[in-house]
Amino acid sequence: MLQEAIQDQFDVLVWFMDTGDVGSAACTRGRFGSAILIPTCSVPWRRDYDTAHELFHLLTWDSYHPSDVEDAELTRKAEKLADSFAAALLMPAAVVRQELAARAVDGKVPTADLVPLAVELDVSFEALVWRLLNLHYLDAAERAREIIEDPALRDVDRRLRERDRTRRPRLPERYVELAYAAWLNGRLSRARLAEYLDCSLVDLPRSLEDLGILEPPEGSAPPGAPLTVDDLANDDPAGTLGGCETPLCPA
Amino acid sequence: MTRQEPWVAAKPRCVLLDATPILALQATDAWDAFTAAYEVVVPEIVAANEALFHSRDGLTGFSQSIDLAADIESGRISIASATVDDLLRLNELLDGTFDIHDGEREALALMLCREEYEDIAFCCGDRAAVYVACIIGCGDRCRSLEELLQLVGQSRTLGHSMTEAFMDTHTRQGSEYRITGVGLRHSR
Repeated sequence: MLQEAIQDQFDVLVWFMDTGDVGSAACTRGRFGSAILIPTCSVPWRRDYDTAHELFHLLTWDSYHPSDVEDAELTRKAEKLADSFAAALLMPAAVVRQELAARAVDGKVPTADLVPLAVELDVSFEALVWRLLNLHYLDAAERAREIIEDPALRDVDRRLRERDRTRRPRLPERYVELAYAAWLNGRLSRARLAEYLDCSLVDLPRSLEDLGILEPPEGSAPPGAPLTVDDLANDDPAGTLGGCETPLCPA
Repeated sequence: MTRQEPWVAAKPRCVLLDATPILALQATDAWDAFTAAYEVVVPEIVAANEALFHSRDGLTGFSQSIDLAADIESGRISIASATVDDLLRLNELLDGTFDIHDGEREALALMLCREEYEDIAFCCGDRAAVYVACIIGCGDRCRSLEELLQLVGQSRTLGHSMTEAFMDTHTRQGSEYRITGVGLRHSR
């Protein structure tokens, strides 16, 4: 997943939020680092595309970002570049070439095979077709539109993605770890932790487990084991308030 | 810290700060005995936050709602609301080191600002909330659920965060924070 990769390798927080009908993806940079906001209502393949698009804005933040520029033409151009960047990142030319070669019969790839390829690459069918045009596998925009608007292909696309459509985004791993560490350090109340992890207090252990943090039953940790909930009564929060993070006990 | 008896009323009172003590009382079937023995006050935000009040069904593992409405209706528990001014006064003291739930914040604002709750005990199983209680000067009113149950002749096996040992450790730590100014907006 692109979101996980940029979080783990580049410390970009990717956050999902229900932005209603008005929301679109956004990004920001500040003293806290870099972050990308993705609407929860987006379908999974759109989330990846939006993430890649916003990543372009983060990479070019120092030279250009839309909120500082009133030139509509420049903004349009930057958005187009961001789309091209997203397409190239999610569908690298070498990967597309390799995938098409694997599907080719007598040097030709049936258009029907493009749908499963788009699913495999986790991009929209439309995005893949435009990418093929830009990589010169299609000779004209009109041909690209024909393929995109083909009712039979659209139907296959819809059916292949039916299960994935409802795939919910997970909370960012780093966010969960930081929230849990803050609770372990006594800086966050448990009810607040539940709120941050979007679950009820009683469901918190199960939610944490789903998110990769296993809380042992109270009183069960052997001496010398990694810090767990049971250590709360004996730890030294004063020491941790200085900024030293408490190690987590992941599942 | 010398801990004083926190109540003067004929019937001792107790604030259930967060859902944790309520859940623990429900889970150990001590809720009825507890509400009969104490005048239980629940902050409005805590009571209204239905999402917090779920108990795990022992057979299925699925959550079930805990219906506090009936207890409120019958007068077994009462609801207290902090005003915006109360909450602002609390917020003015804190620097954000400790991040607590709005329900816990309301309980602490009530303790800090309202005369009618001057003698109320504060029952909670959460370190961050205990620390905040201590740094605003209400640490001597923090009580563990274990102690409150023992005071009325009830004994239950409780999780560590509900025990006297937990409360002792963290009220002591919270008192140190108060002295050193940790968590206070304007350190002395």
